[in-house]
Amino acid sequence: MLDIALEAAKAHGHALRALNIKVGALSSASAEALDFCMKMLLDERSMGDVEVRIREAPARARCECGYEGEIKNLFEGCPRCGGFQRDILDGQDVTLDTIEVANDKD
Amino acid sequence: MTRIKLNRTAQSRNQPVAEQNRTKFQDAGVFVMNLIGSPGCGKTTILEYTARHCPGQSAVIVGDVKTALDADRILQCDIPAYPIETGGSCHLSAQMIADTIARLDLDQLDYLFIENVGNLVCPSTMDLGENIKVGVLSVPEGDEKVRKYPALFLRTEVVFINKADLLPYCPYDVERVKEDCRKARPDVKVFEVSAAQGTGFGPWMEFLRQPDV
Repeated sequence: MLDIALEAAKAHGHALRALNIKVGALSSASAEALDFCMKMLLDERSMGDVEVRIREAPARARCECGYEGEIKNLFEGCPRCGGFQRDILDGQDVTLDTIEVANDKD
Repeated sequence: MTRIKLNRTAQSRNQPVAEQNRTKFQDAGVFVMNLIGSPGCGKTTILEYTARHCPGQSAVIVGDVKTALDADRILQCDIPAYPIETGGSCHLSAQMIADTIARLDLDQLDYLFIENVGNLVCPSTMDLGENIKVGVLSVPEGDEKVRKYPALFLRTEVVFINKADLLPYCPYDVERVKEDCRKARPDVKVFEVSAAQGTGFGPWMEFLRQPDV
């Protein structure tokens, strides 16, 4: 993920300043562990001043009844119809959402 | 400061390789299953039984942190087995599978079973290019595993409840486990077996003859 960020910053022609990462509630990943590893990687590459911001993203689903909303607990049914037939819309991945790079004014 | 939208997942490196694997499997007409379960839940024993009774040509890829002991067990069933010793990694990656299938003649196979490293967390999100993920539970582990590892059971098309012969000796609510599997994934198929005794495999063999997923 850091390589992707660095490639994108390089393509833009400016130094990487920050990574904004989303950790989905159903991603099996730990935001704390990711933060630790990412900072360690940055330190190793002498980029300790790059900011890492990790946000936990809730799981969201669309039920067959049409209800769309957050799933806090996979084992509780839809708040509208009580059912479990749903498509997960968000919260399954760890995503490098955006990066921030320096610009000419910085 | 300029913000750049990337929206790239942590799987960005793994996913293209998984898709290449999937294309190779489809072109060769081989049905691929990725078995995921705790260490000691009986994945290898299920595969020993399955390999012996499989309704077609099969091969097994076996992932372990160390040793090829499980692959050796499969080889004793006269089924080709390919060990992947991860050396520390707690899951298999699409690249490890790509490197292994380069040594296989996929056209000769009907089924390829991939036994992942024993772990209920990391393997769940790592696509290998398989057709289905198979979760393996076992009775002595307790009946709360589905609730404790929802991210896995959201993704498993098939779940085994293994060591069913131990039900008289362990507090285990099978119906509750099946219900939890269906809540996580309503179209899941659950097979209750005892791999050590070789019992309960009829519906699984039926499924292998015609995988309707």
